[in-house]
Amino acid sequence: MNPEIVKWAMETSSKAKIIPRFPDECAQEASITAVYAQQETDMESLSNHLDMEYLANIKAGKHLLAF
Amino acid sequence: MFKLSEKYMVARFKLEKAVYLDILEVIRGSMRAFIKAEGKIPESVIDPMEEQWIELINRNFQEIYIQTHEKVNKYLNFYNVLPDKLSSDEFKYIYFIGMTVADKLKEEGMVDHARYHLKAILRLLDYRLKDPYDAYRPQLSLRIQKTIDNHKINEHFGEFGWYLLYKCLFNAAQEKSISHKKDE
Repeated sequence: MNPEIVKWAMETSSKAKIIPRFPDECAQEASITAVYAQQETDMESLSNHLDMEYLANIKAGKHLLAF
Repeated sequence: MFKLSEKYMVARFKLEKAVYLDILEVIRGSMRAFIKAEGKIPESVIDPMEEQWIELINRNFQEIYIQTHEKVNKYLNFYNVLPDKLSSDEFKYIYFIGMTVADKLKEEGMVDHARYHLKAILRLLDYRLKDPYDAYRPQLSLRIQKTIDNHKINEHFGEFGWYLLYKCLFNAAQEKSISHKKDE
């Protein structure tokens, strides 16, 4: 892809924001909170399995420039 | 024999919130790039399209978040990818978040948004194959693009076919790389 387009896409995002509303952060979702809290205690840290370099690259738009 | 009552025989999967949001933001930027690069939609419409995509996610955030987990858990349980391989990898984040949002877009009739959204997912998966194992398959990618353009991705690949295909290509490339290193 044209690097100018990638640069434009990364820099000119609209002002609208993604507003996360995770279930365990909402009081009305108490039952879901309990389920996910239980899950977390039983599991190892999942971030250990993620390739952080890959995640940094895609955040920088490298997946669009590499082809 | 598989026993449902055994403690660890049912998947309980948790996606990290920060990574979840990062992936959504990356898809957002990638979609903008694909829309502009294709040049079929006037530039003045790109911002509103992006805002509509964000509005859909914000309005359905909890549902999308929960459904993403349900899809991953269904995959893990159905294929018995347990208990020792309960791993969270980039493929799962990209694919399952991506397909959940795509389903929601299609459910609301936003088929053009869904098309660019799926192309952003495809590029993220392609890049995972390309770097670091150089396992990117351009012809495969072109065929999937054609499938996306014709709104046939679910019909042709089902629930997990696309994920399995890319994940297997990646695993094969990774194993080949490890085996080459051992031979050196």
